[in-house]
Amino acid sequence: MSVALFTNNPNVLPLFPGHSNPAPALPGAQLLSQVNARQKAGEKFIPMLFRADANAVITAARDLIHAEWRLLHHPMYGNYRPNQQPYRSILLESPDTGAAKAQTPGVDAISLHLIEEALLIYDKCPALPLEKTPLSLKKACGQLDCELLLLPLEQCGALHHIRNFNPMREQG
Amino acid sequence: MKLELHKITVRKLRFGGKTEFGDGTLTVNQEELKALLLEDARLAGVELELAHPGDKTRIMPVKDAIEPRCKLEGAGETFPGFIGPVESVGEGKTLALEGMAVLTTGRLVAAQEGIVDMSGPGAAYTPFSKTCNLVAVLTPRDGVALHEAEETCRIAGFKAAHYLAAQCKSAPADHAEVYDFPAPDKTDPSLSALPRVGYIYMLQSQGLLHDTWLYGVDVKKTLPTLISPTEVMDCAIVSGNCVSACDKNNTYMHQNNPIIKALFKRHGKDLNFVGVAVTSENVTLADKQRNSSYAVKLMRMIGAEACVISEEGFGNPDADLVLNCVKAERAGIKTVLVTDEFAGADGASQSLADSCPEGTAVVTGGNANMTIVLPPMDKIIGDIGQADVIAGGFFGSRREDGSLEVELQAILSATNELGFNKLGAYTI
Repeated sequence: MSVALFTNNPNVLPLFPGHSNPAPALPGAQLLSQVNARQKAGEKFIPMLFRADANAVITAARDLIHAEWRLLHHPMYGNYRPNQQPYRSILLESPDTGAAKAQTPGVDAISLHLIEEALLIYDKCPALPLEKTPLSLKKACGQLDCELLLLPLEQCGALHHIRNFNPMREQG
Repeated sequence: MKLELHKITVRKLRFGGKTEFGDGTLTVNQEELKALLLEDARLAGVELELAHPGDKTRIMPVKDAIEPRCKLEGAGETFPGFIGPVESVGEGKTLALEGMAVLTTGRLVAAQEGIVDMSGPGAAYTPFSKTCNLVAVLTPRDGVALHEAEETCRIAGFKAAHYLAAQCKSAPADHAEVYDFPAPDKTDPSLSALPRVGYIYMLQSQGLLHDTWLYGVDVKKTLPTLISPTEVMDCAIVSGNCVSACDKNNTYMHQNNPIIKALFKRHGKDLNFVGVAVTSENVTLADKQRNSSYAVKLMRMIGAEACVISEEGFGNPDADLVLNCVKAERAGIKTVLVTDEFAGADGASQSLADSCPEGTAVVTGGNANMTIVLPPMDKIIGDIGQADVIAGGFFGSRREDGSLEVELQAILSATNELGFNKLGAYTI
């Protein structure tokens, strides 16, 4: 069983096991090869850092869902529209997890539905570009993105590696 | 459970030597209230300001709005888990200072907001342009972690609200409202002919600045549960939701939930109001599936034939709204959904992030993407520099003349999903 983190928010990485080895996400089909290779190597937690806007993160998540991975949480978490929050982080679990095994095999309809709806929103309301985001806003958005991921990170076991976990201390 | 709400109508606020009520005016001892709030060492500063309907005043960013309430008789105290002990509330007598609100403001992070204009075109979109407002401008101490700063500001609002009500206990109420929610075996048999209507009350629960508390417990950590509507009136549910001003349910709205009021008003006339279940809007898909099934099960357990489902927020909670609707309808429970829309500036885009064919009866609080120009005001309470970064604002939204071009999303309660608005519409 593996959990992949797709994110363009470097602040999230310390919360995720394996963060010392985040791979820069390659585009398109190469990304799937990257993820598959790491999964086959037995990595339980696979962080992928996107040097791109939020649209790229969501599009890549959709591609992984097409490969039968499942969303762990709603992609549109947080009460911010895409033009108000430059960061997006998505957690997905591999098709061979215990929960996923119990479900109907194949592409998960709920995950696909939610990610397609998210892409529609991003299509109509383009993401705030990172290079146009003021530093103070970037810092605040980065912190909040981390905070809103804590529950799904906790539920997938990703936080267990942090003793005396303090999100604010982790983020500095 | 039976609760009497004894209401004192506040028509004016002033600062003075003693906090007391008389002749429609609430006098507030500033220094006493400030000292109370500054007992929390995490606060570096507290300033108090007043704003009345019609003033050329803008208040921003607003974190929470709270109606002053305290217990007169009955178990526990209002704001259980924060001011009062965690004893169950919702019975006896409670004092409410109607016509006024405590508004908290101050900087937490760059991107949280809420604008209240006390006059001008923006005033029509917020109910808090009609209340006499005591504004607490809060400054957390440097070095206080963000979680603690949020908690500090949240609790300061409850403390201020409780203090104001508690100082007015000896003042006679202008009127009292009685809310009686009897146990099922005490229900009037004549109600059996009326349709049984319940209420699924969705509460924001995503994380920091997006949270709600029930008896002091973080709603993210709860399963759906039944609650007496009178407990809601006694402030058992409080807000820690600072984001998306237009559709966050601040504490004032929980205290004065218009859906609960409407169900009580019609109880025994054309419906039998059978109960309320609160549920969360957690981001994980497992929680969504678990909690929607559980909330609908609670409706079935109380024999609801129909239920109102109100949402808080947008995007992520749209999925919870749909799951609650689909599962209720498939259980034979007719639904009415209360939500708002993000349909683009022209209103032509898809309104919600999710939908279902079962959702055929929907009430909308309005389109949060509609833009409005707010004229300059003579006085700003808070930090106008936040306009550029507030959710609903965008870079360049503050003009040189001091006016603001913002989406309705930035105005406090502009598209509230409990129907707590002053504007309405119907299809002809």
